[in-house]
Amino acid sequence: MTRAKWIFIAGLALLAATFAMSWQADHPTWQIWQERYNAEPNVTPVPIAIRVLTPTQTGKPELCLTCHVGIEDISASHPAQTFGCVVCHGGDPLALDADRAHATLRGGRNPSALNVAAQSCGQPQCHGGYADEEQNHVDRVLKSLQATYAGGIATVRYTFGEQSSPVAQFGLRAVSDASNPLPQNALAALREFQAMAGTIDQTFQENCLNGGCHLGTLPKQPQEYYYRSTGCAACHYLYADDGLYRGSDPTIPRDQPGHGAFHELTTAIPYTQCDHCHNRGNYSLKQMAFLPRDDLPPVAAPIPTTMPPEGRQLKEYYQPIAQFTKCEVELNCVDCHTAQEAMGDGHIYGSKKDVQYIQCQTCHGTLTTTPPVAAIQDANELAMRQARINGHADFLHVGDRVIETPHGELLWSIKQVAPGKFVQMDKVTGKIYDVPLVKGSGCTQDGKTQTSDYCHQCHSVVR
Amino acid sequence: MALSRRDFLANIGWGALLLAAGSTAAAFARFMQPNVTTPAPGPVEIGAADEYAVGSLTYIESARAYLGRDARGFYAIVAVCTHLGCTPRLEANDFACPCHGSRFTRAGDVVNGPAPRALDRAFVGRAASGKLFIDRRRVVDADYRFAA
Repeated sequence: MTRAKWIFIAGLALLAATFAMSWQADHPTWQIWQERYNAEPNVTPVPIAIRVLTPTQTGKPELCLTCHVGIEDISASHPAQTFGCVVCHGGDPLALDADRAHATLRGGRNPSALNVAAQSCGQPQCHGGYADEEQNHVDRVLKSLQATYAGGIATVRYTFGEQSSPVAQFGLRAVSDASNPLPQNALAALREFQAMAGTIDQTFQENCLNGGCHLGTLPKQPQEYYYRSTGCAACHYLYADDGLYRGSDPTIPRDQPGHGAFHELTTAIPYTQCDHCHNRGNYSLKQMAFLPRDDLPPVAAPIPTTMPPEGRQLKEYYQPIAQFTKCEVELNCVDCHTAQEAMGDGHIYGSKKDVQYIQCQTCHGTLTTTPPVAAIQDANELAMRQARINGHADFLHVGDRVIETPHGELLWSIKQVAPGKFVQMDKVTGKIYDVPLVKGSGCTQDGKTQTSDYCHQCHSVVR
Repeated sequence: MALSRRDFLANIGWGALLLAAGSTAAAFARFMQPNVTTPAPGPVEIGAADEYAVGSLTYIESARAYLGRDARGFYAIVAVCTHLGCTPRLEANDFACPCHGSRFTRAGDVVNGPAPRALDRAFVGRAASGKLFIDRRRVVDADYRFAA
């Protein structure tokens, strides 16, 4: 080939390559996302441009919203304008291509995953690093039963003779508590559970712990009614039963299950979210396996969306032999189960019975006593903060008297409105209920046997 | 003089090479420019003094501050909560932070936390254009007023 032909071919090839790269540079991926966002119905179109967010907390620009245009603020307490994205998610705030931007994400899509939560949610001055242990939510959760699964491990190992005592020795992670003295039934430490090959422990670990129902891992087989995240987001980040995203971020596929319904955290956690772990089936110790319930997909049809809420809630609950009272199928789980029960009190326990302490009498009193109450003293105390974060600041005021549990927690959503008269606000729906008291009622229960299991004998809902 | 086919192709080739080199140089020059630039924080002009009545308290979004005017003059309350930096909103009689519930009086003093201290005050002055400005870089005492 002549020199002239080489120059001709090389020149045109180089020019074509230059134009191709130039075209690509003028049509970046973020532009496609913004065009897709603008094409959505019911959105206010945005000008096609790089979007800069400079959050107050860091003062450093972030370009994340260039692609994630329209994404929801994660919560009213965490507006993007104040916190930005990177303080929680990590990543490269100035990158405009997904690979580079996401290469250093903290916890992948979930910065609240248990292995990174201490660096994201639990970083100092957020939900960790306080002298007051109550405010160190991540530390508490990491020691809680939901994260250690100590009770489940101890029960299984004791049942199969792998340990001689039912007292928990192992957790999914090693934890320790330097408190002295320890509260009753609290443990000083748990070792990390590591199954030896060829033992029943190994089967237990493979079948149940790696991808089972505890806070640190996702279910092995994601399917309808099971979708959830892990860590803090397992409870506070709501998933629809079908696992589909319904928000406005154009980068999150709407037809791919496994995404939260919205990019939002909440403390108003509906029972459906709890059910995405609980009430989804039963364990078989004999088979060393989790057996999904057989009346929901994929085996059976979904619960009809037209079913009235009460009926749906009753059907959502499972545990065939369990009994539920009316309030248990009308209220939400978080209306009774407290923050200490769900997220731990900062100490290590080895059994659910050491953690779940709320009884019917906590709110309804007994034949001879009304529930103990305490007055709200200060606008900054925990009960007031919980009401504000829940979005119901108007329900509670300084001077109000609310129920005080045996562990000293103030139930901010149940207050005394007159002597012997209490009302409860549903934390999810905001609906107000009267709280009937046992004292003065027609209850003829033996005064010495007033724990919840006795109440269920008479007050169960017919299933 | 007639251009041979060989020279014609070579000229086109050289032209294409030069164009590609020029485009690459331009692209490189563009690459060296930042994608975005954020303006340095500084004084924000907020209009003429007579636009704000005595007794008024007006949110100035561009300055992220509330401009107040009383009998003594103008003052600016910085709309950044001293807890974590959210934007307090002016309600009926006070400021309320939507993030964690701190409340402040209309003067910016803490009614209830978790905010640890009063809202900052920023400097208010008059620019060469004759318009007022707020400069959040300059924190001033609560007693400070700019007499227009």
